[in-house]
Amino acid sequence: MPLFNSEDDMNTQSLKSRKPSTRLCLMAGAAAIALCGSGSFVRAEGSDTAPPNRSIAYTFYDLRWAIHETKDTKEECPDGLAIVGPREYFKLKFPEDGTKRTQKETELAMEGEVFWPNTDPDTTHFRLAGGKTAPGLNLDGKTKPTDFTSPDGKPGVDNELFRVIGCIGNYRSGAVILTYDMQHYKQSTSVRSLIEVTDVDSLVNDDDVTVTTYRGRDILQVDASANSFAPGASQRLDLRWGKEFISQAKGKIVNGVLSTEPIKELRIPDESLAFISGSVERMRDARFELKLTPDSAEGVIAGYADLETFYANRARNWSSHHLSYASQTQQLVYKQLRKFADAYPDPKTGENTAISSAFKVKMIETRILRSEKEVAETKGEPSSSQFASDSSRAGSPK
Amino acid sequence: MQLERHSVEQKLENRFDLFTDSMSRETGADFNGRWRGAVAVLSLAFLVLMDAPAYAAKENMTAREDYIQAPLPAGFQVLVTEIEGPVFADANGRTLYKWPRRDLRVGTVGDVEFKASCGDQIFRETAGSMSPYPPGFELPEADTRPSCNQVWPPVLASDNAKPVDKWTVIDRPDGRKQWAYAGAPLYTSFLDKKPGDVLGASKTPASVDEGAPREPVGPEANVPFQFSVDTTKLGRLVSLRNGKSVYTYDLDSRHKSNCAGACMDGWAPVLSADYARPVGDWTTFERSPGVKQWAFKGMPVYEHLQDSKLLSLDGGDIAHWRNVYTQKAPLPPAGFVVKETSVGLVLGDERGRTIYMYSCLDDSFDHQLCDHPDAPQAYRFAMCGNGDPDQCLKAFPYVIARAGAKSGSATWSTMYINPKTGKRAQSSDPGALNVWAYRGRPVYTFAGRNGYGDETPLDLKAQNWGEFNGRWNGYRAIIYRDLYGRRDL
Repeated sequence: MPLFNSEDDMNTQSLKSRKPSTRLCLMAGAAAIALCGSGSFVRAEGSDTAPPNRSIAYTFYDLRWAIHETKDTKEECPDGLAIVGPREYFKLKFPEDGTKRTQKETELAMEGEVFWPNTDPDTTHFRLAGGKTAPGLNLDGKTKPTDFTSPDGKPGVDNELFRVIGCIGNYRSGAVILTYDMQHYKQSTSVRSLIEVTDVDSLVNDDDVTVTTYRGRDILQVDASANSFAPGASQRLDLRWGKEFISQAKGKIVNGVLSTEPIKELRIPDESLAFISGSVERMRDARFELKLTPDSAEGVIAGYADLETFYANRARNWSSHHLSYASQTQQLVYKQLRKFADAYPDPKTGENTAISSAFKVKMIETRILRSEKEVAETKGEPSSSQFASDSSRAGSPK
Repeated sequence: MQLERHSVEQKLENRFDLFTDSMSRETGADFNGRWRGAVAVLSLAFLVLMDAPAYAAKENMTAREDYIQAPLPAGFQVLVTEIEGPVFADANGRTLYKWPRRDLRVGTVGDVEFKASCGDQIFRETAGSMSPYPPGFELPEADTRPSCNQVWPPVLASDNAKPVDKWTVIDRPDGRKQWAYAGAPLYTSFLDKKPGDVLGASKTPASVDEGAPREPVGPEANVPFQFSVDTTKLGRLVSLRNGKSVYTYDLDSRHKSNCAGACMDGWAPVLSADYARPVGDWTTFERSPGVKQWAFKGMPVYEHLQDSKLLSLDGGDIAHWRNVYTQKAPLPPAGFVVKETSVGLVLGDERGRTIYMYSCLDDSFDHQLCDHPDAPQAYRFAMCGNGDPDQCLKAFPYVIARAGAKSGSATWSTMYINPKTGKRAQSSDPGALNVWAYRGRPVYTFAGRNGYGDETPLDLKAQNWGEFNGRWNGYRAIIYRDLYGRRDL
């Protein structure tokens, strides 16, 4: 895919909005395109060259809660994976002993409990994840005895959510539900998250960059293998319906790894199973740590997940039927979430309302396609690819 | 239209000042700051739905769908209803329904062609249709549970009734005769009280996890063969048979297209065959020598080339373009707002809080509705308050109607509810609440539990709240424009 769209690059309005250095690049003609454009940059892995227009964007194509997994589960789940799912829990509560029962006291009570969980003691021997390793980041700046070490050896990792969900099959690689979720994640534009990194002088080392999150509007471009995605595909920003997903943080790039300052509350659309629930993950003090290449980005987003939001999103997105695939009983998970929540105490009760956590995320490089109207409204730094949108030809979007 | 829009938008801006000020006062949050941007985007929604006089004048809210006239047996009629468009009704104006057979998670229920499965038997135990729960539990209010035929009375035929067109007469297991249409046995609903009521079911497609709902039956829309019409919350939406929406252009005039040149990059005229003849409101005209285009009520129709979803409304976001409806759905009553959220246009109350409906089919072999205030409330109470009606009132409060409130449509109404039982009440009953109802069902907001509830106009945190993603037994927002609910083209 060519770096510059000729229509855009000859667009006077776009040109005017660019920084002087960029303007010079563009005005210098074909020779400058070779220097400033993707021809030399995009495919040069590890190149210490500024991306065109000092910005680069990536679209998420895989987002999952970060847990540590070994093949035989022995390291993180020495007792094995969870075995008490909705069917088993139902039998524990209502044994087949000949008692005549009502739907209200059985099925409806079970389902009611999913949406109205409690912290009564759990007698099912919930299987918690443990060990010393977990993906994530050091959120509180401390290294405590209970903290994990990241897979690449960094101490002080805060990821209490891993303890709660790490031994539940639905969160682990190969799980049916996770597979469904990731299919939906790749296919639906309702969850099309992306980031734009601006003020980038080097994709290897730059101590001052800006990261902005958005929701996109377009499908992902599958590459010729049909198994992965092609870098360089365009993505329009959802500036109308997706306003709540826009956030911004300052960051730096060190040895090709982007780290950001915490975002007070990061909102990420996170639906599953193609049931449009409008569910949004809310992560406080969220920060990115991503290994960047010109074609892709991969790493973690870590912060404190809002406990009730995390729980309710699962209950809304995954029915008891689906949770039965891998022995996940929602109301039992809740008890552990409350137990391991480690941040943002409620001022009235003192109980923590958020839990340290992380997402593992994979992204593919993307060209943001802005309409002329959006370009005109951009008062700060222009993005890397401000192409005139096709829709703007037919009339101004309302 | 541009002048109209300008003045309307100014009014809306003023209204938003009031709205955000009100939200700030009510919640203590900075709605003029943090949420200002969020609520400001509601202006389009107000323009679409809430500025009734200008909108109604432009959109012709009183238009009703034309349908194909076909022979009817004596005693039947066609009524053009507010949301579902034309439906068949009996002599008393009661809407006719069918019960298409559907595979559930476990087993199958519904009628097969020419055979009625809804009878006089009273089922008192669960059928175990929905995984993961086993069958055999006593249903709520089993002692007073009606039979299928009590809530879905069969449309009986006399012994000498004769088939007419697609109308046939079938033998029931009880020896009586019943009318069928296109092979589907016909019923009325005990919920329909007056002509034009379609409270038993909707034509809107249901997913497998919504069970096997009934469907209203009606004549085909009188549209050319290449078009079809679907029920949406905004009205009866016209599309091509492949699901692509069609649009008209305000800058066109009767049988005159002004979309040419660059306009054609985004839009394609819907062409007609040379031999096509006018059909009802549909005509053809020659847009250029030898090229004929369809027109609806004289206005040329087009496809939006960038539409990627079935029944898309995206083209209507572009100035001067609008989707084609055979008839528009009624506006919500005064005091409600339609707002923009991450999933589309969603109904809100006067403070911008998302409005939810509760939907429910019971787990019996006759699949009775449990989503209305005449049904057992145990299902809803389980979801809204873990079985506790008081908790339900806190978590999912009813939307209270002011004294004397009128909706202006049959779709919206007010009703008295006993808040302790969730069932209908008389206005004189102590503690009875006068609440808003959509299609005969109360509507709710979501205050939530343990700090989790709708806090801003952007929130719809109780969407899919309930059993099987809220589809089988739970709450769902009233979404006027569902950005992601329809599958891709």
